[in-house]
Amino acid sequence: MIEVKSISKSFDDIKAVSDISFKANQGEVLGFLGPNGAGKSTTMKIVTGFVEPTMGDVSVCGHSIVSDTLEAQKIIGYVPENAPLYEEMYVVEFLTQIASFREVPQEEIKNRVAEIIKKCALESVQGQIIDTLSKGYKRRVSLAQALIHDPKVLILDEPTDGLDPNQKAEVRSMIKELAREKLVLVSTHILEEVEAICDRCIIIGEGKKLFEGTPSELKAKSDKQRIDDVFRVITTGRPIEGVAI
Amino acid sequence: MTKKQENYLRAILSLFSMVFLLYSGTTLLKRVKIDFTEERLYALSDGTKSILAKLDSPIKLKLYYSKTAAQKGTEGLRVFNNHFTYIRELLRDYVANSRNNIELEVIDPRPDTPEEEDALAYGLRKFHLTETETYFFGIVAENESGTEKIIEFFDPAQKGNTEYELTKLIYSALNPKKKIIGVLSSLDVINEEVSPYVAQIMRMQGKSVQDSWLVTNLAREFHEVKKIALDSEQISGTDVLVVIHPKGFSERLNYAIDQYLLGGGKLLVFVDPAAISDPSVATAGGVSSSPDPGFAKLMEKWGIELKPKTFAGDKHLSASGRFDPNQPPGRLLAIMRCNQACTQGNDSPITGGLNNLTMVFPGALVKKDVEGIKHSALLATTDRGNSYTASGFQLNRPQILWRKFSEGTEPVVMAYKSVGKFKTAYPDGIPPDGKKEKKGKKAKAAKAQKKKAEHLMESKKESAVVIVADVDIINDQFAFKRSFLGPAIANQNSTLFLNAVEALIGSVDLLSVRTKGMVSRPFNAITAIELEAEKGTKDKVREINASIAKVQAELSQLGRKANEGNIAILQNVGLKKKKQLAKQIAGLKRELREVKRSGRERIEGIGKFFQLLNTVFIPIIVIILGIWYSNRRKWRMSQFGAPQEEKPVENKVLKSVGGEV
Amino acid sequence: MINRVCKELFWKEFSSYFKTPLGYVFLVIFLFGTGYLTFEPGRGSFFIMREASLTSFFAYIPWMLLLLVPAVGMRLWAEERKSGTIELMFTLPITIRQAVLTKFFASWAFISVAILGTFPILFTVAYLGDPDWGVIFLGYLGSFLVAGSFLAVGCFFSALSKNQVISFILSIVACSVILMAASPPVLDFISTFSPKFVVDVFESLSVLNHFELMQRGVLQMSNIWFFAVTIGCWLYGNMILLKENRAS
Repeated sequence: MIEVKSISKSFDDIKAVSDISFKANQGEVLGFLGPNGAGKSTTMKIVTGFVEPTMGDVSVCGHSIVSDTLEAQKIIGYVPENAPLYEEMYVVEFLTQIASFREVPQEEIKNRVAEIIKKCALESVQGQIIDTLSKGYKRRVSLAQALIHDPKVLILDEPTDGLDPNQKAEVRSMIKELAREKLVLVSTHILEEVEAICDRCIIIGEGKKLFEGTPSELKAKSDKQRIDDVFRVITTGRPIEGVAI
Repeated sequence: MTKKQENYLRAILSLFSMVFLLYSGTTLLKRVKIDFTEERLYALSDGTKSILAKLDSPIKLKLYYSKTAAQKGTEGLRVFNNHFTYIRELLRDYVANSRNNIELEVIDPRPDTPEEEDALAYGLRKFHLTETETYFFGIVAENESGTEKIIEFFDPAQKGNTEYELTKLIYSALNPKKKIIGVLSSLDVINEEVSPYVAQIMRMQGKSVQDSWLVTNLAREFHEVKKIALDSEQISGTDVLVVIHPKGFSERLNYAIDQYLLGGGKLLVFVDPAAISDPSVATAGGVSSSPDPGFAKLMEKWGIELKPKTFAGDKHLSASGRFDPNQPPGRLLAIMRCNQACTQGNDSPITGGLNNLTMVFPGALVKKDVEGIKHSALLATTDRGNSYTASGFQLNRPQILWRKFSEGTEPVVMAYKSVGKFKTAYPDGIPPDGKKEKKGKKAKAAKAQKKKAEHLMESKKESAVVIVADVDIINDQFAFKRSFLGPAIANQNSTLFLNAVEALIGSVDLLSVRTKGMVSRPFNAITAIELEAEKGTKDKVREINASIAKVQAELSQLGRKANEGNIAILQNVGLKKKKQLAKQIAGLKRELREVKRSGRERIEGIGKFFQLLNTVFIPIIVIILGIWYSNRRKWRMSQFGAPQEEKPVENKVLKSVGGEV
Repeated sequence: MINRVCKELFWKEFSSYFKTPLGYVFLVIFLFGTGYLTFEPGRGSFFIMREASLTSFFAYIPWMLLLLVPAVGMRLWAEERKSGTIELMFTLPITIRQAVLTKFFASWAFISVAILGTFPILFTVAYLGDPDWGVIFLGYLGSFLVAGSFLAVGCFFSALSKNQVISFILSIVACSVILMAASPPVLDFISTFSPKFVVDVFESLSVLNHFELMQRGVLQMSNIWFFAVTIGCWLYGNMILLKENRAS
């Protein structure tokens, strides 16, 4: 469904992403792991078509993100980092707006918005200005706008960042729920999240792909079953007792 | 090359191409233009085109403009830069219409260069911008034979005249055969005796020198102007005869004019019931009026009469100003500013399109049907104009005139054109020559010669007379104003003069060029209010005067009774009456002030109203709409507040939101 | 080229001016300001000149626009980039060109509404006298075009910097330069370090010259060309900038 073909991206002289490739299919939750600044966000932005790769290509259901950007983007729903929103708008207004941007047929928009509001549990705040919402609600509104056109691919950039534990749990269960019919790409630097929701994970460090496999494979590399030990060895390269790569 | 470098390169390239596109495009596309002005200010007039089409020898135009210097000047010079661009484009239009007969060269004379020397040699005006920079803005036209004509400086304030000036320049450089204008006047209209050089010297010696009237100088630019002596007995050799303020002419002279007209000559006559331009008025006082009975006799045959001591007035055309420096300015009936309303009625090239004339004590002309002569009005007041009579001291009392005047219902004509076959005013032939009759042989010989010139009883072919009932209209005082470049044309008075002359001699190309100009667009509504207030004032003044007269009459009656005795009592009564009168007058005067104030306040009120309308009204509406819109949104959205709502309700609300997007 | 997304974006942008105080502040200041300056007592004041023409009104328009249009333009991209909503915008099925043009036209439409809000002045002259409507029409057309050029400049600088204040100041500076390019003091300054040819070219870049010509009642093809090229090139620069640095 998504095929990332050795993409690279450099800003000025800094290589943010170099030569990353992977594939992912429907029904999968693929986690991107890595320390801050490792290039997770850039990779995701390239997959969404927001950033043009310096080299390489991404194929989304057969549409190239470089040459056939608009078609590819129609298949993707994207929750950017920190969930930016048009804060002066009301929730319903905003979702309606995004629905029409996403070319949802005019007569279906109202139903779709209502549906999504229900799905994301936004009923209690739907008549409020986004600016006045709490972080958790904003995150949900952002998720709602990403789902409004029922995309096959959902890309979430650090969806639980800055949320309280309850909210985190809610978001995770939502992701699991969504993953049944969609491909979900999640970036995070929180390791337990990987275990909790991901079917597969990719570890990125300094722009390079360092590991690809299931969370259990990752876990198995440590004698003590400690996933963060493994993560540190992989990303820093320093050996830790009981971890073999 | 990386993508980033490529993008930067593109940005720089696009910047350059933008500048290039702007520069080349704006330069190339300047010629294609659409004129949106009602007066078609920016398109060449037909007259210019017709003159250009008649060109058959090459003319070289050198436009001098110190562009480099102007670019170093102050912000104020931007006006000149723009005017230069306007003139340059206009001249390119000239070139395009000249069938390759005009060549245009634009020269930027820098200080201490041969170009600057040339410019000075041609006589262009030089200004110093800074110590080093000099400034020229003029044009030289050179014809085949090397004759040069110049406009020494272009004044941006005279923009409306530019095309006329340029066309005139080309026309005069063409050097066509000049027509002769004869000027005959009881006033010193033309002073040929003194050359300008001598006049200068005489002036330096403190002697006063009378210059020729400036309108004649204007006419000289295209035609030859010659003075006809007052003792002429025969008038010939002129293409048109201008008669200004005909009074005190000898019978012989009047007869000569009569015969000149009957012989096919064209006449332009300025008469005036009160010519304040007559210098004798200033020194000796009184009223200088024309025509005298001798000339009136001629006019009678043309079917035109100027009513003596009668003036044309129109409050709606009256200018504001003051007669007496000690009095506040007010509207003056005597000074008439003729706008398009005065010339609308006719399609004559003489006054058609004129909209800015100033007349002083214009007379009222009355036509009388004469067989074979057609009259057409050239200048008239509006429907609300009327004629009024005044004499003596009244002429110097604008308030009296204003009060005296009552609005009429039909226009008063101030200029006529009469065309047709005229009859002589001297059916008995040459009038006797009074005292000269008995003079010696010489006179007899002259008489014999005159006998030879046959006496005409009637025009053989059609001729034309234009009569304007104001002399002051062409006097320097009212047709010109002082400017830093010397006398400048103040209004279209001189245009009327030149138009009339040229229409009579039949060269009409310059007419249409000349009449092009800015239409004045006054605040008619405000003027109407002012006039209405004036009317109210007039009624009040009349009331005051009436009550003064009444009380005075009572007083004098009392005085008569006093002779019969009981003086003391009557004196008392008289004092009382006087006091009463003073009180009454004070009351009326207060009312008068009230009327004046209310008029002024109404105008101020209108000003305030429009100021508020244009400053506060719309912003308030914007704010109200803003609050309404924001509340509406809030209200709509508040419908979504309750999650417990049943589905159908929610759908209904959603529908309305969907409708908004 | 113009698809449904463009239309939706246009309405979103256009209506956003009425959903935030910014739009109202702009409208009120612009309308009050032009009205006040036109009627301001003093030489050249509309009511004192007693001339039924809008010369004294249009004389102030470019200066009001100079101050206010950059304030409208500054937020167009700077705000989106700062808040990150630009990521939403460019993961929508819309190209950069469409987005730039649509946002530009939406803001232009808003400023045009502001200019049209001066309509009471039309009733004023029509009541007081007999104005030349052709000249007034051209004056309004010129005002729209000047606003468009300033807005295009504002868009460009808004895309250049995330900081709205910086983009505001830069666009005011750039707008003043193109407004007064033919002003002798400016030309004098240019001529101190560049050849005469450059000075001539620079003079041709003046917005004010073109506007004044139109406001007097003559429309040259070069006026239209000038404004079209100005707007087009700045917007093109805007697109390049966005392509380059939308993600940074």
